[in-house]
Amino acid sequence: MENIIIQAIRNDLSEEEFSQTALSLLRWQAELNPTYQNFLKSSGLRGNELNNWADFPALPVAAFKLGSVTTFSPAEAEFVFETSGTTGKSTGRHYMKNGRCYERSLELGFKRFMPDLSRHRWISLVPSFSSRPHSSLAYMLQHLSTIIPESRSMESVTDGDFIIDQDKLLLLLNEAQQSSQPVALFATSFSLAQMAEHLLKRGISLRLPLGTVVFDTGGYKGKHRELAPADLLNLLEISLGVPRGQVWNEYGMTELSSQGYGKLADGLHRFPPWIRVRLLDPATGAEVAEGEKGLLHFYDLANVHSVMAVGTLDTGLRKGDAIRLLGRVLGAPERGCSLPFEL
Amino acid sequence: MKTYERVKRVADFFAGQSLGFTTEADLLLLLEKELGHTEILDRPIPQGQGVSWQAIAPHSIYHICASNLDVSAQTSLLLGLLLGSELIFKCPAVGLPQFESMAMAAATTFGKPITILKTHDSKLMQAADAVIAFGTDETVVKIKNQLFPHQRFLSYGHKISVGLVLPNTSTRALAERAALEIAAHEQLGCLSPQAYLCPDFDEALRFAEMLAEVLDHLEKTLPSAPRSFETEAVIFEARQRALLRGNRLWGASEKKPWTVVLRHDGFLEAGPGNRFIQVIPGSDWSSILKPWKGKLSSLAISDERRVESLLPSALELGFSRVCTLGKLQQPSLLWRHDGRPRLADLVTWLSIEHDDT
Repeated sequence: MENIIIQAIRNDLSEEEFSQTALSLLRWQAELNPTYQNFLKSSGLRGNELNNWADFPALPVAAFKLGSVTTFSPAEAEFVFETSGTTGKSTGRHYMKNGRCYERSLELGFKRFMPDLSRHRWISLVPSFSSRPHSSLAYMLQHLSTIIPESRSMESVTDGDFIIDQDKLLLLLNEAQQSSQPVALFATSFSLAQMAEHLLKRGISLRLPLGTVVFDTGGYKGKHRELAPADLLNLLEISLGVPRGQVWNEYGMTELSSQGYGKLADGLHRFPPWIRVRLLDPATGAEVAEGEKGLLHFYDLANVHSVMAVGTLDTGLRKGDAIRLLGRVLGAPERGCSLPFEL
Repeated sequence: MKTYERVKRVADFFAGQSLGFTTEADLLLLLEKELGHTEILDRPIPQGQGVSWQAIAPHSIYHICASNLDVSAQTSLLLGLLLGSELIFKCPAVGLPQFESMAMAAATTFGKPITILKTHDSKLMQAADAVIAFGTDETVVKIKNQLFPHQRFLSYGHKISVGLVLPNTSTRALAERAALEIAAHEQLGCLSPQAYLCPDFDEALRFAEMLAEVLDHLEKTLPSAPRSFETEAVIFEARQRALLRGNRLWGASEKKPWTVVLRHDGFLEAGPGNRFIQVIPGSDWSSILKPWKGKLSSLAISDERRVESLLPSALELGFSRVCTLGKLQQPSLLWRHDGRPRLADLVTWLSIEHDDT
């Protein structure tokens, strides 16, 4: 199955090829993945009786917190990616038998949607994979650094706890400002916010070379107050001199092996053809019309050894070939006259 | 205004509201039970040994309202008016329209200013004699840290209530009573049942089936309120999670606005409210509830004759109220919210000691 999927992960994958491959993969997973098999059984469904990939229900992301979601023995996993979650919440685990499909998906998706960064100076505010061996984000950057020439000398200025070495960063950014080589800066949203606020607090306002790109991997994780995209763009423009149109955002999840990409200013993300997004009306479970808000359910061929269909509490709406992300639905309300109030 | 005059006005104003108080006599009984005497807010009342006490109501009370329930804010309004305090309510930004119009009407009726805030005002809060807050543990700690030591502080955290269906008691009539208490206040209050525990497995299955039938029927006579996308999403996710754990569901595949989960996994989860009820089989029902110790409000029992024998378990688990199944949402006027008196915790006392020598 893995070889079939590797063949299918390509930018010219047709609708029909996706449908056939997805159906085969989902049926295969329904047989070999006990968690998914039981979920289908509880839902009154059998994989071999479903004839369309979209008829397979998505496994809620919560499944990754409750146990292993695999078609193989988790002990054989080459990688175990963990969700960072928020303080006090349990951690989800995505066991990966190997990195083949993930890497192919990343490589093709990144090159499909991102500008050519092969001549950029790569600076990362994401911890190295060696310091965070269970971070899919750290792994993503490490893999990119093996396939894009200039990225091999990627400079990381963040330790394993996401603490930025601000002095070292400033040194690198100052150097970059004085050269003509554009920068490719990779960071989570909270690291970007922390960096920009730190620079501005010190009265530093840089002008990085033309062509500089910021790659925002999203997420505040309680480490910084959440900023509206426009506010983050503003901060980056003032502190680094990076125009709004040069800030990209990646939508990725530990539970998925493929990513979506878009310009932060547009608020629209596009996904490669081997991952499909269904937007569902939670009241009916049916797909919503274009322009209507729905829950995001992903069908990712690259999730070959876990589960292809993953249901999230993220919301969005479809706009042509793109998805506008609208944020996550807050969890179940607290009981007892006691939803949190705004202090 | 003397207490009795306030009692009369409060009884008139809240007539027809389901807040557990219906008549002047109810309110007078509440005053007597909580403060010891119906006139103790007006004058010193002798207590023996040459001592008289007078209760001093807080001059002002700052309420931080829950964003999910009108009824708790209404009760706070009633108790505040009964004490004759100036009242400030910090409402959620989205508003509590029904409550807010009631509060405005009360201000006119009682000739007292009632302030409604949409954003928190820490200066006003710090100037109040008493603060009442509904919120998560985190919220409560945040508020407490902003208060002065002399300020009285009452907090109500998130709690859940459950029912216990004892062997051979599950009838359709019982399921009908259960359905009504599930439906009340969209199942969002601390008195709303989140689960019914059934020591007998076969009975649990029967009770789940009956609940599904009566909840379905109830939609015709007492339909669910319209729901937001977010509420529907949380219900959808809770259903998916229940399936993930191998439980049996009624209502989900038929896209009904109610859900019954027969929890084979014996696990009690905080449900999403909105007519989402769990039926949990298991003879050792107190073990199922143990992880919730400290978060349990009321225990409803299907057979009133068994209440006494179950009290030790209820106490051990930290319930603050035990009642008959079907009465969860109708607490007595003498109910002690989260196990605390509702008026006595708000007042301070003047002691007058007479020299008899």
